Amino acid sequence: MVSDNAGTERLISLNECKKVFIQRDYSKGLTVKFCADFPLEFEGKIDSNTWTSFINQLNELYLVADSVTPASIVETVVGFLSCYTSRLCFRPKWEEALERIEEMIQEHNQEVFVPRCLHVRNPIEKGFRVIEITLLDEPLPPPAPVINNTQPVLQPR
Amino acid sequence: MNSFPLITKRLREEDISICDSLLDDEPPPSAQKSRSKTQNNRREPRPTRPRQSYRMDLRNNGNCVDGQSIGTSTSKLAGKRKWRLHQGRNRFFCDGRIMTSRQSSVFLLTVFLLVVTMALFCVFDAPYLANHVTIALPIIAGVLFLMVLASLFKTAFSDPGIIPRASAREVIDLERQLQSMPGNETRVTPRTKTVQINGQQIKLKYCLTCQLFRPPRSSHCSICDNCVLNFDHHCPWVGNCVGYRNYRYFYFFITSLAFLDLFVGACVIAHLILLSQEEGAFLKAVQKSPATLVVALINLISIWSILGLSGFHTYLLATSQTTNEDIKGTFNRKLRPSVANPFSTGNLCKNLCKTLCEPEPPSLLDSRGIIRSDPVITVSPDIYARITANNNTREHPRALRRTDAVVLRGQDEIDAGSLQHTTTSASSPSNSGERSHGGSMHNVDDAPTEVVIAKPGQTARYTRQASEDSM
Repeated sequence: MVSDNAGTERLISLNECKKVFIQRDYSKGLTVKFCADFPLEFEGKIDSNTWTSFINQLNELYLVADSVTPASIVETVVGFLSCYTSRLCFRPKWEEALERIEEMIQEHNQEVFVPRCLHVRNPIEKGFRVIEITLLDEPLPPPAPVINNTQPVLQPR
Repeated sequence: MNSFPLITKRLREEDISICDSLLDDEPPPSAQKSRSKTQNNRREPRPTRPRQSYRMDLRNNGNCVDGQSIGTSTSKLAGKRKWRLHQGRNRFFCDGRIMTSRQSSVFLLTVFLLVVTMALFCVFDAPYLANHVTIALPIIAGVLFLMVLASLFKTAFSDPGIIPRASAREVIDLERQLQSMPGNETRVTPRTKTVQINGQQIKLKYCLTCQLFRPPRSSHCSICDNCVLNFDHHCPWVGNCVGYRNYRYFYFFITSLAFLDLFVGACVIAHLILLSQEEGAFLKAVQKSPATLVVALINLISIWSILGLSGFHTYLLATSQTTNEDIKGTFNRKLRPSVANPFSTGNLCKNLCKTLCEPEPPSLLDSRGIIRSDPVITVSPDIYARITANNNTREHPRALRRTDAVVLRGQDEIDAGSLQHTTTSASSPSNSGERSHGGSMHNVDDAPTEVVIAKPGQTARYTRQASEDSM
């Protein structure tokens, strides 16, 4: 496996690696929150405190994005009174929050996760169902050949 | 309607390719097919790049799959907007900016009734009222009408909070977790799971169509064939589901419609009374302005249901329930005295404020996003060396190991519920049992390389391949 363009950046296909999924945590209601448990697959790759603090930071950002503030009340009232044309002038609060979250995830990927052979995908790409983490140094084994169903596997005597 | 250029329906694969060629000014697929026959058999990768900064995986060059097994749709759909791959029964317009359900005839009736009533009011009542009473009356009616229409369109055309369907990798992982949970001797995948929300036990059901455990308060709309967050109901008058994202617009629609109804009703009754006084008899007044009576009748017929509906939804908001929950009696104190509503803050005004004034949540569908056929990431050479250092004993996975059907979908992962193909090999149950942790995540190191993903209604079954290099 010799790199023919040594010194330049290499590409890794995410779908060819193994993945771990972190589920949602509904204990505090319907706000977007993910389980902060440390997955066993990460042992040896990353420190549990680093991971837990990342998840807590992410959950905190989602909580702030979803909270009722004077700004969100004004956004709703002005939107209603202006027949929703205010949407053309002002960006919704959630969009700004999502940008901050995306930046945070990219930064963590670059500095913390990818050097440890992990890649965290933005949960909004999965519809907030799960956080998908790719284990970059564990590729999936190649597929076994397909058995032809018309032939019996066990030959009768 | 089909010839209107802005309207594009969710179509079959062949129709999608025809539409694409029309939108992109490409020659139609038949011309392309005849052209490709004269070229060499090896299909070049499609040159169109998606807008995000992902590039082609260079490692795939040595394992290029020949053109027969890559579906033409992927190459056509890569770079297009994601709404084309939506699996529910919805229609998209304006390249994914507007979405409605399939059945929109009652919605058109709503718009028709509103517009016609207001037009009659403007033509027959507004001039009289402006001259004889005050010009403010028609102006207020006009403003209310605009607010009603804006709320109606916002409700009808936005994503109600549809949950995108789970990918195959998630389904596999979930099935594995559930089947190897402690105490699950029969290894049957349970179809419900219980979570604790603010101290209250809530059961989550598994949706076979969307292949996910529905979040609390969500429900599957059978008309639109989608799971919707905070599903309230499917409103045919609005032509869309009412859910997490558009409930407040629906509420504003019915309350402003109630106000409009009352206001216009009062105006036309005032008009009729004044005319009767002028003419001396009510019938003469009606003869002079018959449209006024029509408007009055429409108002009278609709006011009861509109007022009732807005009152009902105000009650639902105050008690923090959805129509679905109210009908089923999920948090009904009389039916279930031990169950408390975990989503209610306890204060009626706070409940109202929370639902109406929360920031508008984002759409999870990302209908305007670009389809990426294979996400890749860029790493520096030293990290790449570290990543691949552990893999010397492993055979590198072939590129595009996914099946034809997956590639045809044009998505980066297999769509659950859409494929069927065979699986092989023995199972090794011991591995994942030891490595489970709290039932929340599982190792996929012995993940199946080929799976059976059953159609909705069947349980997905797979057997795991004994891994040569056990971790």
